[in-house]
Amino acid sequence: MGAFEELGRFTNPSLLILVSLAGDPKHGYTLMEDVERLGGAPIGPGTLYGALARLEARGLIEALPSDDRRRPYKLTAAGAEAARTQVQSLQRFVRLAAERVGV
Amino acid sequence: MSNSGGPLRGADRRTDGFWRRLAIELVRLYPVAWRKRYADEMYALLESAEGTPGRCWDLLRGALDAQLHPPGFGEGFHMEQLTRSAGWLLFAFAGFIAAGFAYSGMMDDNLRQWAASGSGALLAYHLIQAGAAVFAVAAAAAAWPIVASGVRSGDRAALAWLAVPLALAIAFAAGVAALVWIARTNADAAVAGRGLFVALQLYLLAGTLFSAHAARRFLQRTRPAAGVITK
Repeated sequence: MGAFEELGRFTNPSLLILVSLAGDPKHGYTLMEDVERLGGAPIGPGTLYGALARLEARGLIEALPSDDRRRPYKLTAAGAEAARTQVQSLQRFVRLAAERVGV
Repeated sequence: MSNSGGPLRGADRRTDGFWRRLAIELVRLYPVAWRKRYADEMYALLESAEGTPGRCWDLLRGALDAQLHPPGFGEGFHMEQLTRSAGWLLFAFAGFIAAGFAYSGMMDDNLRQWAASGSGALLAYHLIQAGAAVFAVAAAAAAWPIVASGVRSGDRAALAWLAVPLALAIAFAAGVAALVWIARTNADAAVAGRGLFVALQLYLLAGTLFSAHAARRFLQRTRPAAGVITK
């Protein structure tokens, strides 16, 4: 949980953003749409940029240079590792939860 | 909720335009440093996305969050807890002020007449008093984590900013004591007492704004040097 500590309400959006960026770099609007597809619920621009600022401050993503106002972001090595760790943790949870509830 | 890409027509287009313009205006509520770094991207996004009340609300929450977490604010300071505390403090204080206005509305001389007629005014009067007390206690409880983090920081300048709302609260308590004294010692001073009451409420509103400014300066002062956003 290290990379995701103290993210509060930005924890889930942050994971969705990291997973979204695992594919290829994306700018704000594309990210917002992809995160909605991944999470099944819309994400607002305030939440999106709140999460992006935190992820950038922690070195999990970085902004790429851009000629226009839409700046793309890409995953850093630390971000990819954090996403993998978090997804593995969720996989373990899903496996155990499925056993317990009999799915 | 995302933009489907299809053209909007008639009322939908007008509504979308209103919320989109509002959303773009709301970006102004973010701190200057934040806008320097992210505003262009946010404008580009908002110009492409559909304008909705939900997105405006999300931006409002984001702006409040960014004001409490200005760029440069690092980790390890339990900011999420402080944000929650600040939110509850604001809510409790707003409740306290609302109770004060409701109380002033019931200060009319015909309160006893209402009570005698069994209209429930006396019960409402006591409920407002109880509500004000609950809001005051809630505000103090919500303020505690913020005060504690200031004390832990050991920064004298930060603590000086924290002393501002405390000094204002003491002055407010003195004003209330003066009001009670006037009411008890001079039965003919109802007009003067009411004037003082209104003045106290205006003072409370101004004090709230000044306290919010002081709280923001306090939070900025206590930010740690490590782990900062430098953009």
